[in-house]
Amino acid sequence: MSSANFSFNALPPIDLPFRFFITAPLFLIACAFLVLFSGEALWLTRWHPSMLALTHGFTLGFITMVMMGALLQLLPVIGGVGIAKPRVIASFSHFSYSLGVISLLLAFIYGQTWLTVLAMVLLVCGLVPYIVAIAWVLIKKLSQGDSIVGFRLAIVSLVVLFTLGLLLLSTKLGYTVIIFSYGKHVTDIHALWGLAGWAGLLIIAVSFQVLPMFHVAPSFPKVISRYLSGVIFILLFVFVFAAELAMPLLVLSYGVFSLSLFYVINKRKRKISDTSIRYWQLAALSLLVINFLYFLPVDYYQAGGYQDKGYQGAEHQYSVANPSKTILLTALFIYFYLMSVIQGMLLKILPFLSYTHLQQRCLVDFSAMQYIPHMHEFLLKKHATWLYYCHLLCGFSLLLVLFQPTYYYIFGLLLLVEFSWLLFLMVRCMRLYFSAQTKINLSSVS
Amino acid sequence: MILTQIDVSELAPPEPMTAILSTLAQLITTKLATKQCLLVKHRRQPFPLYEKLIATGWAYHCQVITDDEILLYIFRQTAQQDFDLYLENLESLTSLTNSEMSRQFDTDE
Repeated sequence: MSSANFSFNALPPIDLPFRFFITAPLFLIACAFLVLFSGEALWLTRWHPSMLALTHGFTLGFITMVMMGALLQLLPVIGGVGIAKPRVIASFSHFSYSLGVISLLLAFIYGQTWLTVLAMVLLVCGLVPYIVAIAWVLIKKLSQGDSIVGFRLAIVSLVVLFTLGLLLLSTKLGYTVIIFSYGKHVTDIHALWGLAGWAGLLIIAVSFQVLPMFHVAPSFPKVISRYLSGVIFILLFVFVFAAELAMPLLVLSYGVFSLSLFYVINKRKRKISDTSIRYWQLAALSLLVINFLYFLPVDYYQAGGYQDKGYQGAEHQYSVANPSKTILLTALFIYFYLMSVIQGMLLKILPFLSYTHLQQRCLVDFSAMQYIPHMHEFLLKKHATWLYYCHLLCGFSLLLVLFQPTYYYIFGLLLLVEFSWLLFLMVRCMRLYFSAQTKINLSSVS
Repeated sequence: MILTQIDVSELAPPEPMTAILSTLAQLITTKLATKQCLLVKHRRQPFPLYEKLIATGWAYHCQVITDDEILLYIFRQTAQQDFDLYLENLESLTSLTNSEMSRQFDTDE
């Protein structure tokens, strides 16, 4: 295949992904205050209003927010085509989506009907234009790589989980839809399509590109890059009708992905010690631990006595000795897998994007290269290492609080420190970018 | 065409882009700049570079060899005809080599 002089969309302006990135840690700083002020009660059940706000703060406020920003840049880099009218769509989506997530978190905490309605309207305004714009690119995409298939399945998962989320909120408002006679199972489907579908599949698709590209690693084994996303997607469907059959296979599929991650990481040509790689290794290890814990006999979990009876159920036996298996595995998946990969990728793409956007201006005037800082200066290695250790400590404190909720304040404080630090690193990187850009502008004028 | 080759396939970002830009900066200052062609061996297509190349008077031609290997030719837009001729010769040479190889293969059989 050859390509010559196609008309490609340029990278979208850097301030567009930056605004998604910089908003994300703000949500987790807010979540840290939520943890600190909610006390032990938050950890009693997954149905506690503040726990619902906390999980959605993590998944919508941080994970989805970063992914929305990253996709804007990744599609042109990986596939050569970006979304149409990026400034209008990204600005509008970011604004509506951010306000929508804030309204949703407040709606969970205060239970006000008007907040729920506002959240639904704003989330629709924020997500629908974005999904349509991305879907348009993915449908028209020129080449048909394995990652593009993964992106498509991830976007379909986002549509499914978003639709279910809206229906669940309508149920809360009193508009019951017939499928909701299944009760808790629908919430499980919503959560699973969000975590293992939207977030999980997108990370898998991105890893096929990002690991070989940034870490000069070999490509993933063909059998993994070609079939894994499809298998996971089919299992998500099977889960709807036969949860007990699909769930162990889903966990195993992620186990297979973790092994392939270790394989690719170990086969790198340049084995340079790198915080981003440590994050990937931590994420892969977490998936193996999740596999181990999932297949432990169920008696182990019930020994402590936590039985989850669901949203409408009144029975909530609780013991501090053991958290429920669902909560433990979900916490591991979100904090040690999804959040680790996302932070690891942010550490790579923040300096890379800053450098690349500035570097491209040097095609016109190569002497402008002198004004561009070295890529590592955008994000110092020691700063990235501190973030990693902070993430580890915070993750372990999350596990501690699941077993012993009285230590909630440790988790709250560490969460505050970790994401304030991430916010500082982002602001530092962006300031350096804009100061270099100003120097280049001044030099080109003179 | 005067061909200059660089291999960036084992470099981590942003080194490939730096190598390409610095080599182009050198080529543009040489005599016979319009006859120069940079051949880049890369692992993936540098899509964001393409539009910038066009905007700054360069043209490109990409050959995708495998999923992990591409060859990118970069030359001045004013040298498009020279490049087309060069590519035509290259392709006929390649097809000749292939047919010779297949004849050789038939003979061996």
